[in-house]
Amino acid sequence: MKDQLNIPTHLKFRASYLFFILYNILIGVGIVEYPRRVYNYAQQDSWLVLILVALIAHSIVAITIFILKTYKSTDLYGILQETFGNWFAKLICYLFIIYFFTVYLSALAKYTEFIVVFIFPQLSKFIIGFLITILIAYSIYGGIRVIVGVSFLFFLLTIWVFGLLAVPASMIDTNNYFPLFNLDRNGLLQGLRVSAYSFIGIEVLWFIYPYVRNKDKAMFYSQLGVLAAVVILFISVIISIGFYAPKQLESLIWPVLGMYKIISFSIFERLDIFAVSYWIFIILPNLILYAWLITRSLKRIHQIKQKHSIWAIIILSAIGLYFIQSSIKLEALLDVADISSIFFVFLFPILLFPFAIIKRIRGTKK
Amino acid sequence: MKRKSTKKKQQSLFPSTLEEVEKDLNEKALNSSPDFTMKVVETESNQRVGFYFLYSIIKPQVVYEQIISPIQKAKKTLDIKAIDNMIVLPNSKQESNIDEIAKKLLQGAVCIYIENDQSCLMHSVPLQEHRSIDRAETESLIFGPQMAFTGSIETNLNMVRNMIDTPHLKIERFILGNKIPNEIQMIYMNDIANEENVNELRKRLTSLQSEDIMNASVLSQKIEDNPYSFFPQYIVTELPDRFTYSIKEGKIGILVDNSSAGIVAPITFSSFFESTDDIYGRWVIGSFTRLMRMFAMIMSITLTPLYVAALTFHYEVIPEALLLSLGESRNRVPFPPLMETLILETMMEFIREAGARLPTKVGQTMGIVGGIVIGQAVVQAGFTSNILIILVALSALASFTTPDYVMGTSLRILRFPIILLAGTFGFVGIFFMVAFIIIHLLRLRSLHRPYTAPIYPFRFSDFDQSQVRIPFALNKRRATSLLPKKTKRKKSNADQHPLFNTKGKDIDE
Amino acid sequence: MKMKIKKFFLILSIVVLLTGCAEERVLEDLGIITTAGFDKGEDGPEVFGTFITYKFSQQLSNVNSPIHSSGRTAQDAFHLAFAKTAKKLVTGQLRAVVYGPDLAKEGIWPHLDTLQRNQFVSDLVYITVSEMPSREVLNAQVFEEAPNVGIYIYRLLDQVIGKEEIVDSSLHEFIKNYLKVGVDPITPVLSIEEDRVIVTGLGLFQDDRFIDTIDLHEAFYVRLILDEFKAGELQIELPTENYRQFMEDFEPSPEEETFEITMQQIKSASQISPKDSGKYHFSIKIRFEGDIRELTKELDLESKEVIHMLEKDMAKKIEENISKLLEKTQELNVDSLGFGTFWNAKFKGDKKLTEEEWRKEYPNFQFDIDVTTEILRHGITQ
Repeated sequence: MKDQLNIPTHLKFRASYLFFILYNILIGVGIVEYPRRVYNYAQQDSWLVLILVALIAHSIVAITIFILKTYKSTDLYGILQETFGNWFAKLICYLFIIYFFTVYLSALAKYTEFIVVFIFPQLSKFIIGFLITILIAYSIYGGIRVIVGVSFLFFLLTIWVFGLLAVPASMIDTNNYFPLFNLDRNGLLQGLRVSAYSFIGIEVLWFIYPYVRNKDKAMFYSQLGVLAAVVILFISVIISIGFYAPKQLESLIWPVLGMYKIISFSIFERLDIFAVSYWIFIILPNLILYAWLITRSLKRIHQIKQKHSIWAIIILSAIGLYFIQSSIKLEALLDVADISSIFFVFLFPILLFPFAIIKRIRGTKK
Repeated sequence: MKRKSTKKKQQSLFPSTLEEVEKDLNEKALNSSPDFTMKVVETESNQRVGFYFLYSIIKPQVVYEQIISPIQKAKKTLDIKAIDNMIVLPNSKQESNIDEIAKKLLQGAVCIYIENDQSCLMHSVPLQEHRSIDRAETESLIFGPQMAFTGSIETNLNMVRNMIDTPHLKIERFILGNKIPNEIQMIYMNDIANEENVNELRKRLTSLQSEDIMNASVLSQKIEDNPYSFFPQYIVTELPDRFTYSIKEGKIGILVDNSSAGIVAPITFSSFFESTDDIYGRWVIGSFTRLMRMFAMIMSITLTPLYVAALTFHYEVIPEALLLSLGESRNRVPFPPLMETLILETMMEFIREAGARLPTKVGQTMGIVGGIVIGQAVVQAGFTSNILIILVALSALASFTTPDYVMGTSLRILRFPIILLAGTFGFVGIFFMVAFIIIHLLRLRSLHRPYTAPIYPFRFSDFDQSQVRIPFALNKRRATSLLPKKTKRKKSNADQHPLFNTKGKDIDE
Repeated sequence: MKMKIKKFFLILSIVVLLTGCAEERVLEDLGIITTAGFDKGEDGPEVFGTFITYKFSQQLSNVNSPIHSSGRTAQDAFHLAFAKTAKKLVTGQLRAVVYGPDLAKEGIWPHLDTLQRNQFVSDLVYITVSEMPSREVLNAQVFEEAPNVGIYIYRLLDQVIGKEEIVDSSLHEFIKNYLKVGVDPITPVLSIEEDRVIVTGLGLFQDDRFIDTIDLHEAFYVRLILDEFKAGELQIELPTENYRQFMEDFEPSPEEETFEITMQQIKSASQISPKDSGKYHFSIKIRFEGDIRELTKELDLESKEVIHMLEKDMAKKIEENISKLLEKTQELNVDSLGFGTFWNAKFKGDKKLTEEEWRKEYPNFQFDIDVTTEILRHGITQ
């Protein structure tokens, strides 16, 4: 118990904000293309695959929180340090940092890609990325209070955007959902693999848990946050399947944004332009949380000031964006992030689980 | 050498003759003020008594009737004690240090000196000319009391005291300003106001090192959490009813002498869009106007940027019905939309500023000339499109619905960077700026309390008193965002309200 | 803190100054295309494009002056039009695309694909076919209050679709139906009459090839099967013979063998379900209700008998018309009503229709049509 983190009370937040944090880190750029990715393998049963993955994700959250509870009030680094020692803890945390940065950079690059494709074909990605990075740095400087606030407020600001999907929902063709349960094993497995990528972000719990004030409620609200994200993903998958023809859905890169193309109000003709620009509010808390995770874990390992490491992130992401100008490179980066997420999101908590159980048993014996 | 001697002389000022005292006071301590006056009175016991004062800042009638004339009529031999007993006025003090005497004289005191005595007696009879209680100039109410703070701290305190006559009203007094001292009063309800807030504000006031506290607005900017911010972090109000209402809700008020406004702290962003009129009016009106003001605020900062963005980059989003009229009115305009909007917005600010700087009557003519004549001519000359004129006027109008003038102006100025970004990045730029403002608001604090409360940190129970206003019958608690000591209102009539006495009864019973 | 803020604003202003980069599309500098028409060029594989743009000037707005240009593809034709106008041509406000019959008969998918790939084109663009070359349609000189003929076509289609006369035919619908196995796209057919654009019927497509037109009367039944009516209108012919006894002012005039009945406020619902009998057999159930608005002969509508008879006869007539329509589609081998999708939604595995099977089998599909009608009211007079 040498490494108990002492977070000052004024920095802690109520557990209910975990809901918004988890929702925001799960819903980002991924949802835009998720219906297509899962449909490629699971066809009209995609929603079934999503539910299966959601169940796995919920249990992963449960395991993560169980482990964190076992070790009282410390984060991933503290846990690893206690269980495996300094050297190993540092190694794993480094891996996590690299992974976080990959996810962060790919999300940033992806959003800039939206803007370039939908709105400003001639604008350099670098500039949009730079604007967003300014916002990220500005909110990181505000500290954890602001970051949680950003998650919360931007949740309120963006949740209605998915309500607009009611318009395409009114145009669905119910024939597209049938026949049900037409899924073979390969399709199921591939679908599960692809869907797993949508749950990148659960690992935020490893680092944010010590900041929760009433930890007994952490479990409830994080599960609820994951559930909210699942509901949004589910809605987008269901509507996409009904709205598009099968071949159409397979060929569209961003089916969710495409659905905004048919929404039109008498005062605002093209909602897709709006949706793409407005997506900045959805992507921002997501990026901010990843950036915070990077600075936070760097601080834990090396006591590097967050003030300094955020500048490192800005510079590195600028360099990154400069190199990822083509969508092929971006896809390669996304693949790296996706594949590594299987380990970091799903396998890692399970590997750590036995140690937590052992600790609990020992603790009760004592 | 010389300096030393003067110092010696100063110390040995008393006892001396009246003329010497006059010379010392006027020439050394007061830098030969022309309004310095000495009046010598010889009593019946042949004592010479001198009265020294600056006649511009004392009440002459009081001085003659209450101070000079009783002494003149005295039969006995007088000493300083006896004089003090003869004068019925409060606030007397014995003083022998010449600097202190001078300081008191400057604050409107009369110095009474019996020749060859050891010390003199100071009596404070200051004359403060202030405007009488008048209508507020910058904030206006429909239902509320039609009065504003005056320049005198006594009058202001008098108003506050009259409005909150309970012993729980605690007043703390500070004298701030190293060079020109000024009186400041911190007023709060000691049974409601949060102690941390009070301590924090007290700390900020006492640790404030400043030459001069000019007035409340200046003071409020000197004790802000983030002085670089666009947004005011305290409300500076002219209205005593708003001031006292805030105090009653657990906030802290500050009055500054010679300033016709009070500071309220800590506050939240949404409280700038609240007016006491919302409370005086019915709850429907109050809730509606509050929501409307919020909407107006959002509109006032996004309307013209949306125009710029749509016309510069996103012609796709313009509805078919509007496209032709927009295109036709834009067709003759020689500038790009960004320039056009900036020119027109600047013109709007000219009109507003000219209206504010000119006397009321001329100001109105200004408005007509600026608004109607120039507006009309500008469109006819093909300088700007008429749709933009409508939008600019509309957003200016919307920004004037903000009850707080400082906040309204801040928001209006905030529009310029948004327009600039809209003109360079379209909608992306607008949303970037909006996100920036939101993050900035999240970062802001007022007296270490979150600025965005009750939205974040989220307290749903506080919405009934900030974003909307619920009927009083339902209003049982104070807003908890500021952490008041007592949240429950004392003996609220909520439980006895006829509305709630119908439990278990049917409609017509 | 102060340094940071300064730094921040410095960076921000630099970024802002650096960027005249975002591509400006200032409204009045644009030639905003509202409708584009494409025809087969006179010689070889060329595509001949006609573009209608906005004119932002009141004096000019009543003159229709389309821009013509030709290129190898539709996109090419659009690109080559840049030299023919002082304004920058853009497609973000495109409302309708008209394909000439020659081009449509060859298949329009390549052209639609470029439209779909263009992120600025809305998915709500109407796809239409014209009876004569589209350049003639777009040359119409009468377009009422609309600023140009493109907007006129858009409003016309909006009105016609809004009145529940024909089915929706947006770009999204067309592509969806084209890409889906088991359904063929439909579009409105435009023509020109007295120098104004009119809708004459529905164009049936086989894949992306325009095959034939059905008139507005038949179009009603397409909609009846495909979609719900909320407030439609129908005119139907019934034989006079059965009603002689109820006709009050019956005058024997042998040449009038039929009379007309007009229904309005039609509400309908349809249900298509494949029957599992090995054969491609479908049942079509339609519930149909509405008010009588007009009768060419006076009937005693107060008698229940008459109403019942009318209901029965109308149902029969509708069934007849539907089967006639279906036969026509089977002859042409276009499954515009999407029976293939209904089949595929029910059966999986081997029984599922592939594209080829569906094409081959569609003419052999069998239909049970069952229409029930109900007359709710008969106008405001007895």
